[in-house]
Amino acid sequence: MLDIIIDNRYPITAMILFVIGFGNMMLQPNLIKKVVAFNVMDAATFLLLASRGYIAGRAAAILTDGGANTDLYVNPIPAGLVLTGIVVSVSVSAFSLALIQRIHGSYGTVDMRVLLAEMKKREE
Amino acid sequence: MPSLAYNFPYICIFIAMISAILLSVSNSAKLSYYVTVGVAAVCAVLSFIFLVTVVRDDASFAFTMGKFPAPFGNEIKGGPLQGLLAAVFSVVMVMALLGGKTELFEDVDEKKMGLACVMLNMVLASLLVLTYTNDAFTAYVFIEISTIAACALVMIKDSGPTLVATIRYLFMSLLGSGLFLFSVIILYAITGHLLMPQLKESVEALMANGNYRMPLVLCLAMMTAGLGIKAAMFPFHRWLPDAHGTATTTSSAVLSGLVLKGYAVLMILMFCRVFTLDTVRAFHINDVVFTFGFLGMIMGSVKAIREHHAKRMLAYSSVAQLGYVFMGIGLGTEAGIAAACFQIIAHAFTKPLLFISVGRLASTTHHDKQLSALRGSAWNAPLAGIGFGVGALSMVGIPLFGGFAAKVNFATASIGDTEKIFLTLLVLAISSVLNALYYIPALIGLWSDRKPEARHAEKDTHCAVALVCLIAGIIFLGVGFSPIMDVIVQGIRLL
Amino acid sequence: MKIFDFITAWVDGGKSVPLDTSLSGVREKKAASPRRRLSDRESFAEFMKLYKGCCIVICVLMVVVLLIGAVTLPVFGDPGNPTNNEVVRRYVGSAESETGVENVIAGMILNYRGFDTFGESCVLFLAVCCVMLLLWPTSDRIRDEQAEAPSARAGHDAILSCVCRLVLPCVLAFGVCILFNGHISPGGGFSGGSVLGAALILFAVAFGAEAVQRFFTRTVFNIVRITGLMIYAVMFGVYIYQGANGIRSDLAHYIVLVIDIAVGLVVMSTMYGFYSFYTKGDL
Repeated sequence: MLDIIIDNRYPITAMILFVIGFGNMMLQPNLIKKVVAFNVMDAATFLLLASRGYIAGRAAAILTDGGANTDLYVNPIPAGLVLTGIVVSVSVSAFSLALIQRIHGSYGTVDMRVLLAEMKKREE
Repeated sequence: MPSLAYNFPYICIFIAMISAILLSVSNSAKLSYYVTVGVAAVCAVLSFIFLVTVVRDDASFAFTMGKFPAPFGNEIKGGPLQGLLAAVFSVVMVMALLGGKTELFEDVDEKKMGLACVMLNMVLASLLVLTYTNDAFTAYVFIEISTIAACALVMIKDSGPTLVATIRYLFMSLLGSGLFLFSVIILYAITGHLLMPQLKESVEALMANGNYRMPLVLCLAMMTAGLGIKAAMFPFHRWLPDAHGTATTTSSAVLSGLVLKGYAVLMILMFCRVFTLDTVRAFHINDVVFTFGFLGMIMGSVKAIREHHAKRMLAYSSVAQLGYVFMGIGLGTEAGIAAACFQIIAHAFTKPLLFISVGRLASTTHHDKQLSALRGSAWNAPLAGIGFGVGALSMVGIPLFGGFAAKVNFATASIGDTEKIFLTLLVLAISSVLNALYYIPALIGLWSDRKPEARHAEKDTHCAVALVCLIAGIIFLGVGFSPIMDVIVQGIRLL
Repeated sequence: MKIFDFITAWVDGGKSVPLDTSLSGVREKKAASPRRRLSDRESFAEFMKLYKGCCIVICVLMVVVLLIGAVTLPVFGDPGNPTNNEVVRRYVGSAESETGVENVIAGMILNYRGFDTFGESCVLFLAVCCVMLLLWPTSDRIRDEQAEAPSARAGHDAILSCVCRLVLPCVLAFGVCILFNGHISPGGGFSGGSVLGAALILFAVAFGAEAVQRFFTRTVFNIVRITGLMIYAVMFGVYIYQGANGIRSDLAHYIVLVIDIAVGLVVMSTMYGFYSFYTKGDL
């Protein structure tokens, strides 16, 4: 049992982090905390992805011998995908934080419950 | 060297993206608007030529985005189905822009019109990529583009409620794309590929030898949930009425008519081209999708009946109509998917028509979109009244209109399936009645109780053109649906 | 005509429902409406409770399922994993001859999978456009929270500006170095661009946004952003056209370096754009 957990420590951590992020994103009423939760979720994804690329005992994929021996290097694909993911997550965080700044300017709160109640009142 | 027409999908994508980049510095609202319309029109023409070429050649082909073919480089794949969907999306984009022009210029600050047009172009580009893509990770990147651009389209109106609606929409979408990314990664971990043809081979091999069964189920489920959240599948639809109900007319039309469809199309592509329908059926994911589609059709309509705000009513109706699409996918057969594709096209014409009509009618009532305020307004803007009538009748499923053809297709698609035929026919009947319960009274309300003192709508040629074209499109879909179905069936065969 | 009134009342909750109705449904609906609104609020609270319960159940289920998934995934670090297939061997083995890079990751994201990265640059571009849409004051909306811009206080901190004078050249040199060497060493457009963007932000914090404005005005910002993305779009567009139609060319060999620099420009201006729009709503 312990062996299995130790062997799979990265995917297990990633899965737990993902659910923490996912749950908080659904449950947190505070918008800023939702953004943080989203970043936790993304970090979990990157952890899982990065752990997929590692091959025991190999070096980063910066060629030193012109790629003659392909067994010297780790898998470069996950690194590239993580880069893409990070850029997307930065962009989305920036967008949502700007949105929250404006919402705070208009309603004076970042609490989703208050905002929803406000919207309901306006509807009636 | 392939014929020039085979380059058109990529040319469309790049035209839309490059014009988006350039428009971000445009100072002139008019120029940005007309460039956007022009780009969408060019995309429509090119997609149509492409469609004719592939239908004539009876071919679908992979187009390498760069020098290296799959599995090394990015690819897109074009065929009759993709060409048809791309052409429809571009045409509807033009119509949504034309129909919502007056309101767009009223709602958006002149200084920010260029940025709003950036978002519209990016939405078009991302829709085209989601339709054509042959690469799971490209799909993720463009899902994010369409998320950001669609949220921006909601908030370009820049009022308090739209901001709150946007943040709800954004967070729901982020959950969806997070799930999608996670499932793409698990898929990559167990297959080692990101390009769809290789993914399909690997998935088939895994199904044959029984390895990694659990991760495969997991990633299929997560992908379905992720795309379902983004396409407003029934239990995840709560963000939709606010987002679509508060936005400006063009945005509502584009979001309801097109953006939701992009994710549904991607789900179809994923099911057919990556997981294969056999796998989906083996894991009973299609039953889950069917159930949610089924519930969505009923619950969306029930919610819409209780709604007194015209645009929110239409938004709930989108939930119901997307339910049809998911029901078609949930049948898990090629016929079901063909019916879903036809429904995507029919709804892509109908919902923008309804939104544009409501926007136009509301221009006679000082933009009060409560149904009680809109009562009798059709007399002041007759063309919009007729447009709403055609859209409503199509939604209810009156023969000669597009919605009827879609329902017929669902009914015929369900015939082969002994378990689901009863449920499908039952829910089609119930949902038609429910649709009639809110569309017909709304239509009668619009045409009754003429108020002589009310002001007439100002002349609006753009809107009139859009309304006439969309009405013609719906009638064409209703009368001449068999050639379109032929193209769809051919496209699914070649997918 | 009366039937129309009933029906319109049914659909729009009309205020002018004739009371002598024999259609009981209409009257019920009308009578029920104030009660329904009250219960709406209650049902909202109830819905929130239900929603929370559902979320917790979903999360617990998800964690269980995901953990089972995690332990059945391919083993960590094993060379025999499905991910280590011919694609990886091709990337590592031929990146240098096919794309002229030593940093395989740069070759992969900018050449083999360059379209993804183009989309990714567009995500950044879109994000800055959205931030502009939100925070750029419109002609009729003068935002009071921006009146006391933090930049007014900046530039008076002796320690900060002194340290900045020492550090900034190093940061700039480092940023340029990793930007231009992205194809042969760790780094590249995204990392180089963010270091350069950080340098600009540091400069703005230490010497005030006005100091940055002397050379990085809105026009420059726009030009840098658009040029970067357009170089990428046009070069990669041509490259795709050549590649897909089988036209021979050597574009693949220098595309990585040029696009790396273009991406660096985009990232740099985006980073500074975020900072600037957050602090004062303008450039």
